[in-house]
Amino acid sequence: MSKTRRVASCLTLAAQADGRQVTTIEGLASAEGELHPMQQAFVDCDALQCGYCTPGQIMAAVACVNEGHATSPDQIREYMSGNLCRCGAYVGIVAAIQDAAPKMRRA
Amino acid sequence: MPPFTYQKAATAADAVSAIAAGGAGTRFLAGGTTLYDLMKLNVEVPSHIVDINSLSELKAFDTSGSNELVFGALARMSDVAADPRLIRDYHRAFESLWRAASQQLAQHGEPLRKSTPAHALRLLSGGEPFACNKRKPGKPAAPPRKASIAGHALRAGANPALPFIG
Repeated sequence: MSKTRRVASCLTLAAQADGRQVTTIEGLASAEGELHPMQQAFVDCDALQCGYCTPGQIMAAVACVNEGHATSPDQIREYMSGNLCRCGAYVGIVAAIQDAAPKMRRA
Repeated sequence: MPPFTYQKAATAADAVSAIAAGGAGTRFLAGGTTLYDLMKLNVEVPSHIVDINSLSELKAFDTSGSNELVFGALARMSDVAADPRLIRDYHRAFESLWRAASQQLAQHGEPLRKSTPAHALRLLSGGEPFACNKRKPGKPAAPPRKASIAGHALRAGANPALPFIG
């Protein structure tokens, strides 16, 4: 089990996170501004349209890879199934995760 | 959302005394997936919340026994569903957990043992009973229920008697 756990912010009181480290989409890029491999892959694969769901999609995608659940398109779809995209960018999202997973493992 | 107070219980005994002392408006908080939803709809309006997520003894489960499996009330769905013995020898149980919630919720902390009061699902925000339109076997489909849709983004203001087109 990885040390970190994904949580839905809409189901977490701020008080519940007291004393814990929290990473949000704003904390993924490096201090120099270089995008996280998953952020770059979302750009490269056109994995968004309106962008409303994108922070949650990217955080869930990073968790999906870190948990070791990005080994096939079917597995990616299953582990990303809690994140809905009304624009229907799913094809690009799956492609982005497949693109970023090996880069994240190397990093 | 009306204000409420929040307390993290350190031990099971703490949690029990807090709920006993807190009165009718006190609620336990485990995964929160039901409580917060209902709070946002004003169905649940707790005055005090007792967070029981620190009670690690309730998160444990043991699937090594030959005649019984033991699950703590706070065992997380995703943790139980990843148990090798459950997957190998109790595949139906594994599958039902796997299908019960998306990974987003199962990993968020959806506890195995949920306590959703039936009345909470049947009350509108004003406390008015919510007609159930579940179809009875052998009978035609029930008429569309009159649900409160005032808070819904797309259907607010629409005629609730019209069939929902999602």
